[in-house]
Amino acid sequence: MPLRKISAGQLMLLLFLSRIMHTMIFRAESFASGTPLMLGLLVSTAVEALLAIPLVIYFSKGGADPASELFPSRPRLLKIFYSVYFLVIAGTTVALFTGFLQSEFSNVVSPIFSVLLIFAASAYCASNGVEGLGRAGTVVFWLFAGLFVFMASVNEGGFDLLNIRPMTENDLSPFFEYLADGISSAWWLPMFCALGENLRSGAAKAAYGYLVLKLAVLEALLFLVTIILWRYVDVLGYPIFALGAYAKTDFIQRFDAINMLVWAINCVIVVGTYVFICTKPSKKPKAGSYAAAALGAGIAFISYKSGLRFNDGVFLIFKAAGVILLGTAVPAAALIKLGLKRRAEK
Amino acid sequence: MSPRLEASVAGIKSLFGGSSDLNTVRLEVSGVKCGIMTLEGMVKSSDLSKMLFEPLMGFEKKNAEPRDVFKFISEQAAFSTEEAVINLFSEAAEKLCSGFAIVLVHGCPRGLAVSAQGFASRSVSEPDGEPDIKGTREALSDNLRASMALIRRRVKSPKLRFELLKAGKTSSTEICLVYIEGKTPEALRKRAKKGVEAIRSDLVLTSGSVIPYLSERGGSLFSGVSTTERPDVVAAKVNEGRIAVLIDGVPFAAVCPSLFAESFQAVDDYADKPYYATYLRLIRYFAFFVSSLLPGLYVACAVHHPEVLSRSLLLNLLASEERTPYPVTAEMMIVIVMFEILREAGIRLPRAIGGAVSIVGGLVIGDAAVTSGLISAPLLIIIGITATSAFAVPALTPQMTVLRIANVLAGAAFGFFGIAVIGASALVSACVTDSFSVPYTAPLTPFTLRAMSDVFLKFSERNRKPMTVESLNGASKNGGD
Amino acid sequence: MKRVLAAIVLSAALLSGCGKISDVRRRLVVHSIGIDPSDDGGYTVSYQVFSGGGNSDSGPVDASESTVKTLVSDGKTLAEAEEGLRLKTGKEVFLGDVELIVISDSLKDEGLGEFLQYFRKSDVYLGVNAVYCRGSASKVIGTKLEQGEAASILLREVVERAVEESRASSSRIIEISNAVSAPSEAIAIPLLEVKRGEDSGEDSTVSNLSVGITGGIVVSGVRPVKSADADACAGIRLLRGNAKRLSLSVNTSSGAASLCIDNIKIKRKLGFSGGSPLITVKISGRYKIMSAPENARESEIVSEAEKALLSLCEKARRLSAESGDDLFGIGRMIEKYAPSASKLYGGDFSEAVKSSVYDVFARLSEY
Repeated sequence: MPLRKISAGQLMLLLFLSRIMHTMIFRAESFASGTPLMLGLLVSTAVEALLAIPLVIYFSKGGADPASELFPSRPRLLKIFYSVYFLVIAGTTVALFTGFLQSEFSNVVSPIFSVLLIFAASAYCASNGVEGLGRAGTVVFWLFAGLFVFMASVNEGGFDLLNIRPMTENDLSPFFEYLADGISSAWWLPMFCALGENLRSGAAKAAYGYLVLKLAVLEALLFLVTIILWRYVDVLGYPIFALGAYAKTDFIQRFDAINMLVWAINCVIVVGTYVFICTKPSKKPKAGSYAAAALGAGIAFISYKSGLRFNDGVFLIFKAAGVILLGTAVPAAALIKLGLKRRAEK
Repeated sequence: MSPRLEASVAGIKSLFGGSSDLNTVRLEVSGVKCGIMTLEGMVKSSDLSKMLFEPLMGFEKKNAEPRDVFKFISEQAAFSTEEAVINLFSEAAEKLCSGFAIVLVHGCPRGLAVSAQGFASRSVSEPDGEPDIKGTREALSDNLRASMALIRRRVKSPKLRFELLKAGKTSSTEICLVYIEGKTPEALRKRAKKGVEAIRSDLVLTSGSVIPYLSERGGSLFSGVSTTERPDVVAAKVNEGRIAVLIDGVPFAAVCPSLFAESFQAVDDYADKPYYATYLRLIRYFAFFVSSLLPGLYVACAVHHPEVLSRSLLLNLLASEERTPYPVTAEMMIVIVMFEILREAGIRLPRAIGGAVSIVGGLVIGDAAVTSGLISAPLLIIIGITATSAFAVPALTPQMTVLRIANVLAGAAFGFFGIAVIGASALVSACVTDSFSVPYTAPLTPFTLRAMSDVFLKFSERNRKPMTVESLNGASKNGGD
Repeated sequence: MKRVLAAIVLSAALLSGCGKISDVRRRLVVHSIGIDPSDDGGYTVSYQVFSGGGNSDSGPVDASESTVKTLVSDGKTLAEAEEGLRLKTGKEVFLGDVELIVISDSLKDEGLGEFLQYFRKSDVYLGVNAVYCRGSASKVIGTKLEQGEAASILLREVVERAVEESRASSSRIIEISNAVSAPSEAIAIPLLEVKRGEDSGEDSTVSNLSVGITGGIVVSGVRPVKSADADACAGIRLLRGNAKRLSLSVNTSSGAASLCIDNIKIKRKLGFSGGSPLITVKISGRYKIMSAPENARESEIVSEAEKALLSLCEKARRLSAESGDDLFGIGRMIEKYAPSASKLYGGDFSEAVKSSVYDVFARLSEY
């Protein structure tokens, strides 16, 4: 069966949806000022741009799959590492999304069913290949864009620019915290590596397009959250969700549930992509996707019950290690090997 | 075949097992014994008499040999536009089944098949399933040849090709691939032909027997192959590089590849002003989402998310629901099932009494159910809007029905979360559907700007660019997002 | 296998009642909440709820006098009172449609901390106004003010109108929550008053009740600290920079005149004078004279109106400076525009508020 491929734009949007999913289920512990968060995001994006250089060069120079490049005889070995990494990411994402559902819509769905349904749908999506996910991702992106524009236009909150303050010494600690969180949450790098072989062309466009899009959208969202909600974010926990909760029209009174609907669609698509990556070492992708989903559901239950958070110490290290090793070191090594191979061929 | 007339006749008869619709006429032409075999109702007697019997009886030659008679029939005279020499009984049987008359001459070990098809068939009728205001009033016919002629009349180009194939182990049905040379990619034609040749069914009686073999892969909810009974639609589609598959005995053509966006196009769009056509098209898109989602959203709001509803809507809903005996979900399912039964009955009933269904539906469901407090009025309005919306996009009726019921169940059990899970799965299902490498969701995703002039907006004919297979195929391969 | 799995999940979901299906008829829609102190130290909470089930008309239904009723529930906490209501009615209490929260001024000593925490966690829309009322909140909630109108809608409109007219500060839950979370920041929560006029006698169609915002209660750090009259509340809106429209009555040499100031634009600037913050406030707006004595000069009316604006600001300044409650966001201005100076205050800006000097200019132009 030929390898199904997606375009650079589709990959860019899948990476973006994955990042925005993380931002949405990011539960703010303290949000005294938006400035350190906005600056942290800016600096972490710059660091991500540097970390992305090896993989962008590798794929731009015609590299197809870092695992096959490094271990031509046993590429599955490395792919298993990617699978494990994204299994944990998928499980934790669903656990946090379940936490969000329980926090904001506790009477709607029980935790067990939210985990099972998301993974069942994700397994179905993943089993149909990355093309469907890429195309669906584009639709979900525009759905998000439309929803945000609409919610912003009917938002009842007033803007208070006094909420935007310059950085002070007190903001340094949250700044570094957000910076660390931003860099460790850059799992788009290993995601890019894993999906690189499915990319038709335009690695640089996908990677740097993603960074620009992420920076612009998230900075805009953080800016709006800061000037509209300010300290109330501390109370609500989910800043982006709260922004939607302040929108109101005569026809649709509240947007909380509509916001959640789009988040849930995004969750299925994003987790579907993670599950698809997990099936890469499998010789039977369809069966593999259901097996990966079952494992992911198990991890999600454990994460949910243990109350794991993205910015918890151990998980922070796990995420960061994945970003550095699987997202930067592996493509860098593959790039060196590719270079040596090309030189030998000459 | 045997040189003996009786042996040949007996051989063919034995193939048909003495079937009573096999007729044999024996006659002598210049002293040579001949036999003409036909199947009852498959040939037109008057035509046969005029073009075969009269010239044969007029042939006179002294001491005529059998080969003289056969030569006269096969070479010197022209009895019909299509003739074939038959050497085998099986060939003779096949031709008979296709409406040919088989002429046998005693002393000749061959026969001659003469085209004289004249089976009774429906005259060209109106496209009742796809009516419109300003388009043609002719629909494809059960008769394959008549359908071919209807298409040919609209595409008077020598490049229009009809490629006849046979499918069905028992039925041996004629299937015709319709395309325009140079516009339809060669690979697409070959794959369609391969698909038809792969049909394993015994009988090919509907387009449903062919469509699965034309679909490449994909989710099971949507199909990359559509059907139409309009010759003008077939003409337009083949002009865009698609392939139409006509089936003998079926007044519908299967068209592939077919797109999601095409389900919202109507022939009238091309006859109306672009702004009006655009408006109607957007209405159809809206109707699709209303029909698929509205009942589910209503149930989800009523059960889990009342905060979404505006104050007056919520209070009206509450006031109506308090007077009905069943929960909203049960009420909704009852009305949906009732509506489906009425719709089904309306289709199956003879037209003369079809109106009775509307009366029963209107009175029993519409009025009595509300008056008696069995069903709440807002819910009935929701179903009314949903049903009317479904009629606006007939091409997607099965999908809308399935999504509607799934959304009601998911919305009742898990609120908007359940609807989101169904929505995401349906979205991916549509996105993975391909037909001959053309994504079903093109040109929306993957996005192709040059094919967008006929999707949401309908550009004027001067600026409209057709959604050709090549442009859509290119999108999926070269950077469509 | 896929289908079997899907069937299992779906049937389990539908059969297990996992979604805690709660039909709309099992919901008790609350329009407004009134909170009073109870004798045992807890709260008496009045809920104006929808009760349209008995309405036999087939026409549209809305919250009107005939479709609402007030239910009362007691509890040591608001959550307990809500639970009590649930047990009393057997229905799920739905707070997503609450229009207004009224707190009795008898609860001034209690502080707002518990209330805010409860409402943040509930379904209540974060843009709902919470106001104080003079006397019993239960009576305010249950007041039938006008034929065919539920009290909650009318009361909400009264509050919103006062906010629109810059006679009261907006007191949405989110705004109160944000204001009280900073150490020295304060907010003036509107004070709603329902007054009974003289008995209208036998004519029952004439209502003898009147309702209005008569001032505000200044809340600082979740605790109400003092009262403010309507003029001071208008001054707070002006000095805070968020007044949009104001109606004024002024005395001229020829008599009283009324004018409406619209399109108000306020520019605030922070400076320092002798170590104290100097707030320069420039107020501009367009006026429309609504009524004036026949021989009154327009320039005089305008001049008096400008003076009236300054007087409103002065009242608000005095209110703020007395106790150091930051009603105008001075602390945040210092943090934003003079971060180095903000260090001197160590996060508590009450001294800065007390010592702030205001330079206010008002200039009105014709519509």
